[in-house]
Amino acid sequence: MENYIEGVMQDATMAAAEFSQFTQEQTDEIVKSVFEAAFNNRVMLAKMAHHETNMGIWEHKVLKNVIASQLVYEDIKNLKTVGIINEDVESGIVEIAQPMGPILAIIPVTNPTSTVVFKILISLKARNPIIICPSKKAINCCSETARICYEAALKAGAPEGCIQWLTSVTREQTQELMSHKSLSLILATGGSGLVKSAYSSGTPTIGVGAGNVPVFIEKSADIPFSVEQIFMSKTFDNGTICASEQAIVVEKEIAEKVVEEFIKRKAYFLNDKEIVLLNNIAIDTKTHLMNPEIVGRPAFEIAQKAGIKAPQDVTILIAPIKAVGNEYPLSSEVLAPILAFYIVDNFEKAMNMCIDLNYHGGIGHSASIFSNNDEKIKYFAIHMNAGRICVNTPSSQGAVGGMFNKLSPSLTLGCGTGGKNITTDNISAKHLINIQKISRRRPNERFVRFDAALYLDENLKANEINELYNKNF
Amino acid sequence: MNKYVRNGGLLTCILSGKIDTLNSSVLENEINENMKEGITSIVFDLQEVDYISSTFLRIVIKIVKAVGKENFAITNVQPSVLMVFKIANLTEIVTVGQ
Repeated sequence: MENYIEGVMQDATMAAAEFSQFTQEQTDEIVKSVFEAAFNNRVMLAKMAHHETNMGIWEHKVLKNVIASQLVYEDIKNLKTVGIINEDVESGIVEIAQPMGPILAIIPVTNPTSTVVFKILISLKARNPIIICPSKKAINCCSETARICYEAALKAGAPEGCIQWLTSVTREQTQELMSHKSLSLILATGGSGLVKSAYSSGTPTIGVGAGNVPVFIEKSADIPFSVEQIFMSKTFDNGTICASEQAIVVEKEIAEKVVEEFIKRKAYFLNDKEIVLLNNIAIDTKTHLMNPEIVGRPAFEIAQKAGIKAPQDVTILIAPIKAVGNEYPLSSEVLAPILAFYIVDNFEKAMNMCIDLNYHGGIGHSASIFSNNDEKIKYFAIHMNAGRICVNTPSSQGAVGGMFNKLSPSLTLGCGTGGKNITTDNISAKHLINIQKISRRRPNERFVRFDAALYLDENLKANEINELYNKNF
Repeated sequence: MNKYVRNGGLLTCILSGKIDTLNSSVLENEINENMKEGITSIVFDLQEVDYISSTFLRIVIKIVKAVGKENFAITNVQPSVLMVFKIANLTEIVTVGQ
């Protein structure tokens, strides 16, 4: 078994060595070929993902595949990732892009084929071989996606072994792979346990954090528009995107109108008894984590499972609750068409509720506001610990980027140090290159002319040194 | 055009140009043809080589396994090719010299 991992790593390392000699033009040809192959198979792969995982809605998975192929390709196709990528004569600094080497890509069950396509495109664009490690519940669709991409890459002249996929690996083998000395980076998109284990491997890791996205519909917002956007986002692939809305916060002044708009769209507001029934099946009372069995399932099916008599055409289950915390299970993240709903007295109370939600399992991820008051938007943003603050946009599609804003389209959303990540960026090809800097001599005149012996005089304080250091002659 | 020079038990393979996947297969056949009886060590002279593929690297690994590290060497590599051997972690198992 050990030989299997060694073999995988040897192939990846050989591919990395060959890839390092490729020009920008050769690289771009490969990326284009992979994009086209993935895009042309978007429907088949979406259906396969839906069938295998029993999550989400296949039509929406098609759109996810489009985001991962068309939008990601559009975003990265002109990016310089080979050789000199930037040259500044004045500063004397020249930047050179180098590939990182073999990348291990952990793929989640919620967005399997799209994440495979996305990670392959950004890795190849940076001339890095990639090893796909799918969720056990999505092995077939991920393998088929990787195979299609690999075939297209080879046709365009990519090195053998530049894309590999693991069809059956044990936990021990995954650990072995993660800590292999030839592995350069782990792109860990998945649950907290897996991300933590990637971080613990000793290999540099770009991970993600959990979300718990609060949505503040501020009273200046266009209410029907806001509700429509939230509706579109929360029902997208049955809520499987980690940036999907989790809780709606509204000031009481506009609450009635908001409720009315949700009801128009066949959302079902639960009573207190029904909330308890939903709590029981949505969140594990011991771990306080969502129940995987309801992830990506339709609202009606979840209602039935909980014993709630909701109409058959129900779109979203909405739970009006009073506070945030483990004693209110639905204030936690649930990747399904379920929303918590809070009515508060005023702006300050709404802000506090959003902060509580943000810090209840979603630090660093994303937050959302609907408002036409720019000051309040900025105030909201400053008080959220979130990498992305989506304004007047559906948060699922907004945080992923490329559709309703100019964020880089990505299926790996950095959550900053709050989410135990190194960046809050939407991860893309630019994060997968090592940048060397040629730094030509451009002496700092003040430093060079300054009498360095003065630093040795401990009686000279900062202000005195500064005065001499900055003196004009 | 690759050249093969035999000197006693030593086979020197003077390779040239771009050794891509296709050329690597041709090369492997040529080496097999030249591996006559009595050849105990092999040298690859890469003075004229400016690109090597992963397939070529795999051939290198195969040869090392067949004849042993002490009986195989790569010489006259250009810096760009030396970098490729380094990235492939092969300089630990193959003697790559300038």
